[in-house]
Amino acid sequence: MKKPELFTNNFLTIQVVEHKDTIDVRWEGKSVDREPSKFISPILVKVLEMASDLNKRIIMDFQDMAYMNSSTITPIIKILERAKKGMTKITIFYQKSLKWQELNFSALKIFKTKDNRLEIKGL
Amino acid sequence: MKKSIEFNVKPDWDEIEKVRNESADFLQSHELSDNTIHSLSMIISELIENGLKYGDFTNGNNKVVVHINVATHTVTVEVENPVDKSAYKHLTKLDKTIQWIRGYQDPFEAYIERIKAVSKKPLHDTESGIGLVRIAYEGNGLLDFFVAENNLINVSVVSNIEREDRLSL
Repeated sequence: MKKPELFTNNFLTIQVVEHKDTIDVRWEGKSVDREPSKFISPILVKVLEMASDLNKRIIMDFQDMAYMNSSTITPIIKILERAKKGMTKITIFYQKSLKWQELNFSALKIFKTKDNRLEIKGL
Repeated sequence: MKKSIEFNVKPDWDEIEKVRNESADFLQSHELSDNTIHSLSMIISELIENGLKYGDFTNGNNKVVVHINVATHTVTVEVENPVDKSAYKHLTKLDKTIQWIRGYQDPFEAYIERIKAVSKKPLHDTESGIGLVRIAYEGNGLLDFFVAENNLINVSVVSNIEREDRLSL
């Protein structure tokens, strides 16, 4: 495991850790900025490139997210669409018992692929 | 127990989080479930965000006014802010979006359609376009708006409260 990289912006922290077969991206806190994609997109693009170069699965974990505004959902959707078109493998974990997470992330199941390259899982 | 509460929000993005927390405290006093409070707080935040994005705050006294009313079976959120002529384009879009959402029997379908459309946009495009449809889908809210004579736009959401949304029932 490589040293975790921490990215923090106001109430939101994104932790990126590279493991042997995966790159873990853990989201924590609240994302309430006016333009959150300015902070989020560069991190996700970099992780997407790393995963593609090193042939590793991205594990994106949202279970510790307390709130995100709709502008935060946008870059996540766009990254999933890009991953779907390419070869990147992504698993998204969310907390099923939280209604807002269940409603938002279950809707993202439209990006799931039959070969499980893109997975959305409620825990 | 107070049935309604009003917030005067300064045109400062950081105010949104403050109002979200204070309105959550108010909703908690009505013994609503955590899921319901989260959903209503999302509605309040998204409406204030729109108010701050498209409102006219050139006059230093202009503000966003948020009114929340809790009734037996509904919670109504009204957000009012001044607009100028430059917002007319946005008002047309707002009207079209509300009509478009109403065209779907299930707001989930509208949400999915919106996600598909947004996913095709460039990464650098910062416009979300999800807020209103998220209010209808996740917030189970009925959206409406009107513009008063004094150039104040009032956007309202009526959200139904079911038995399971209350802690005391």
